[in-house]
Amino acid sequence: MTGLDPSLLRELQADPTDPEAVWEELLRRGWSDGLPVIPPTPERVAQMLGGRDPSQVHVTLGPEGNEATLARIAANAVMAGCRPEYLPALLVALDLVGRNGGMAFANSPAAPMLVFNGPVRGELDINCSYEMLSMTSRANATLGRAVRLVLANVGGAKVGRLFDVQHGMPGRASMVFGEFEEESPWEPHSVAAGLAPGRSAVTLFLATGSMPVNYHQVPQRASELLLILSRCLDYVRGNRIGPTPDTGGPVVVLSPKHARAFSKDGWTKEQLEAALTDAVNQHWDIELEAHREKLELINRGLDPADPRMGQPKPEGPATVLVAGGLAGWHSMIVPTLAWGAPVTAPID
Amino acid sequence: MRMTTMLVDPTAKAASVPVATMVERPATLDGLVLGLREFWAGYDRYTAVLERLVRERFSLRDVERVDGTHPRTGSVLARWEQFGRDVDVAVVGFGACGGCAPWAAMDAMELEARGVPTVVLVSPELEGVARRTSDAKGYPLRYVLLTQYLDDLDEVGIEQLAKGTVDEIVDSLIRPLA
Repeated sequence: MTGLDPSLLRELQADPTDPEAVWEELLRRGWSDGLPVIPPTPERVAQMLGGRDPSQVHVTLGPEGNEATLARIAANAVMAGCRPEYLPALLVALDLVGRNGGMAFANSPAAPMLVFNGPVRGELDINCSYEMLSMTSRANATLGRAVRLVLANVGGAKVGRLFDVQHGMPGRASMVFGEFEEESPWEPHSVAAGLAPGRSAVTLFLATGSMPVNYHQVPQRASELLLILSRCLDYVRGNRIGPTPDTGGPVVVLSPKHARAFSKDGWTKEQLEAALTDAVNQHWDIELEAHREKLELINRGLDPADPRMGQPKPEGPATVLVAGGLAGWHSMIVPTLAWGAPVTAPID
Repeated sequence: MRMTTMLVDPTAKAASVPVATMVERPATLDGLVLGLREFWAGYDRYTAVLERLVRERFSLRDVERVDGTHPRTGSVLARWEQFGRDVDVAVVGFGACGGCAPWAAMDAMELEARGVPTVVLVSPELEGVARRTSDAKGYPLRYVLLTQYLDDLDEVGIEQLAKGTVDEIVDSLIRPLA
C-alpha cells in the first residue's frame, strides 16, 4: 500500500525489467527531458514522499496555474534521480519558483539557478567546489533537473504548450551549487539576504548563462581583477531589447582565491557589489539607431505632459558569491534575466 | 507475453478555463468607429493602407488610433480606456515578437471584454504563442497573419499585403460567431 490515489497511476506497455523499453515509453508520453529517468513507480514515489500527503497542493505553476501536488513533485523528483532526503530542499526551491519564477516560463533562456547556503550543503552533499556546475555530483545534477521536470510536466513549460524558447541553454537542465562559505572571507549570501547565520537556505536566480573570468596574475591585484570583471560585464550592458536591458543584476561568482585577493586588499562584499553595480551602469553609452527608433515608438504613445522615456539601465544590484575549486584563479559571471530579482528562503 | 509497468503520472494538464464570451459581430462596418491599436516598426504604413481600403468598402463613422505603449498607467492608461470606449470594432497589431504577440492577444481580450469586436494581427511565427495566450484565458480570438518581415516591404509590398488581407480582417470583424 502506497497511499497514492489510483487515478494518478498509469499502466505503461513496457516490461519493467527492461529499462530501455520503459524509458522509450516515457519519452513517447513526453514525460522525460531527453535523458534516461528512474521510473516513478508507486513504491519509489511513496518513499520520496516520506509520509507526506500526496494530494497536498504545494504550489501552482505557470500561466496556466497548474497545481503541483506533492505526488506530482515526488514523481518528477524520482525521475530526476533525487534521493528522498532532497525533497524538503526541492519543495522550498519550487516554492521560490512559484513565487518569483514566472520569468522562468518566459520565452527566454533563463534557468532557475539554485544556490544553497548553510548545513544543507553538507547534509545533501551539494557541491560548492570543483565542477560544481558540471553536473558531476548527484545533488547538483538532480535537484535542478527535478525543478525543470516539474516546470515542464506540471507547469507546462514545453515547446508548443506555453512559450517557445528560441535556443534554450544547457543550464536549463540543472544549474545548482552551494556557496563555499568555508572559503569565503565574507558572510554567506543567505545572511546578507536576512537569514540567521548557520541556517540552511536556497536562493533562486534566473540565470541566462555562465561566463568564465580569468585573472592569473601573481601577486593578485584587486584593482586589476575588478577591471577585468568590469570589462566582462559588457555583455550585461550590451544585451538589450531595443533600448531596455534584457539582463538584470549579474551574479559574480568569485573563486576562493579571487575572493581572498579582494578581501586582502580590504574590500568588503558590500563595497565590491557596489563597485560592480556601478561598473554595469557606467559606460551606458551604446547608442544604436534601432534603440532610438524603439524609444521614439514608445514615446510616441506617451502624453506630451509625461516625461520621455530614456535608455533604462539594468535593474537590481550585482550579487557576489564565493564558490568553485580552491586551486584556480578563475571566477564566473552569471547574467540574469531582467525583471527577475533573486529570492531567498530558509530550508527547515 | 507483453508486460506492463505501473507508474505515477508526473504531469498536470492545463487547468481548464471556461470559454469566454466573445462579442457579437455587427452585420456591417457602416457607421462604426474602427479602432487601430498600433505597435511595430512600419506597421503604421500598413494600417494607413488598410484604413483606405476599409473606407472604400464601408462608410466608417471614424477611425481612431492608439499606440500600444507600456506600461499602461496614468494618462496612458486613461487614453487606452478611452479608446476602448470610443471604438466599435478594433484591429490589434502587430504581434511579431515573443512579447508583442501575447501582448496583442491580451489587448484584444481586454477589448472583447469591453464589448469591442476585435481581430488580432500576428506573424505566422508567433501565431502559436499568441493563440496559447488567448486559449489560456478561454478566448477564441480571431487572428489574421501578416508577414514577419513587414518592415522590409516597400510601398508596393505594403499595398499588396493590405489588399491581400483586408477581406479576412473585415470578415473577422463582421462574420457572426459560430
